[in-house]
Amino acid sequence: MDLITFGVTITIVGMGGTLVSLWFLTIVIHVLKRFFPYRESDNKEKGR
Amino acid sequence: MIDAFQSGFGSLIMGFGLLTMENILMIALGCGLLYLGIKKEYEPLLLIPIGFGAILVNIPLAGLMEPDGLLRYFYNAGILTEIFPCLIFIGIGAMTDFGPLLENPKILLLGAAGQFGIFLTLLLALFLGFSKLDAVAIGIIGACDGPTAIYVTSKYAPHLLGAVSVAAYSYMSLVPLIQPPLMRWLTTDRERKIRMEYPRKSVSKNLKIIFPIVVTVLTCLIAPMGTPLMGMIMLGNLMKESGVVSRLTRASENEIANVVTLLLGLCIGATMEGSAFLKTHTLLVLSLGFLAICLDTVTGVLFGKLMCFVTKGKINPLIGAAGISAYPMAARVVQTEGRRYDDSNWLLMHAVGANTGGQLGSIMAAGIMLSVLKGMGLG
Repeated sequence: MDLITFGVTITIVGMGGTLVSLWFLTIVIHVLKRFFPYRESDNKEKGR
Repeated sequence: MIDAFQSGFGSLIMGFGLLTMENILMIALGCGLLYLGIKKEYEPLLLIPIGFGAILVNIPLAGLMEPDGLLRYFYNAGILTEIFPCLIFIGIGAMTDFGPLLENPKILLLGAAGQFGIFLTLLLALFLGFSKLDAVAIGIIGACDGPTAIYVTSKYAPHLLGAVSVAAYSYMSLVPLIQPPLMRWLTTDRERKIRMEYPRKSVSKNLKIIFPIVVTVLTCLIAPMGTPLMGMIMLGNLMKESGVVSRLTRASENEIANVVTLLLGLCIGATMEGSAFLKTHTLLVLSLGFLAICLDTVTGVLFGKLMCFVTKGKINPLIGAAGISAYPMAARVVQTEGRRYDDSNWLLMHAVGANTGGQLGSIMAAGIMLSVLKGMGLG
């Protein structure tokens, strides 16, 4: 594989992959927040 | 008898006779790193062992990096096996609070944008004639994350480990100097003064416990080669958030992290032997590393401006600069810059969210790069 092909491939897949993965994670976090909503009782800490 | 005395005394001055100009320069560089660490307090936990390791390895005939040398044992055990960066990540995970990120998840996108400098620098390194794997190791300086840079470089370009590590840790400590001019150049006065609302407390304890598990499974399925890094940081975070293994959490944050940091620094310094380090390409690596961090800041702030536009002014673009992995320094830089223009504008928690997003982003970027390399048959 020549250097240009390598560089362009890894740049597009790398930048795009990172952005899409973290965007997907953002959606997952929103879904998790619906399943695990905040409650006032969460202020109490387990013994640390 | 006289011959015996001559041989005996000769052995005492042989070291001086074998000292080269390269050794002297590297000993001076080691002293310089010690000065930065001790007097200026720039990342002292790392620059002191690195500086001292550089001095030790440039003493002729000491043989510390020979096959049976002291530093060689540490290097083989921790760097070649890639264990040291992974152990440090457990401690980093145990010290990280993803709460601000979970309060405002869209800030995670800034953590992605803050990694674009990695790939742009990789392209430039290829253009300048570096090989594919060397370019990968140089680009990863832009991750602004020492353990990640060491992990990738020791895997693909161990001959660049000294230069890449010194670049990564030195520039991380210089973030307060590198970022502000770029932040001012890229933003308007109106944008810098944008105040961001603090969301009502919306993160449950259960979410903080589930988060590291879900992140590990999802991100490691996407980029399996990043599993050692992502897995370790999330393990540390899970231990912290669970609250039931405080001894392990404390050990990860303190004893383990401290011992590994010491040995890691020594090993990095041990790669800075004069004849290997003082080459033209070292200067190029250091320059490209600086550029990588500048590009990270630029792309992060520009993405912040895009998010500001899309959200109709709800996001202050300055927090884009915190999308790099230099935690928590980059967040403090954003807070300081924001308050320069509006003394009562508190951007810190939003910047912390972007900064922790940058940590995830840097590991994700490295994992994706490693997985792509494996897919290409280069890993």
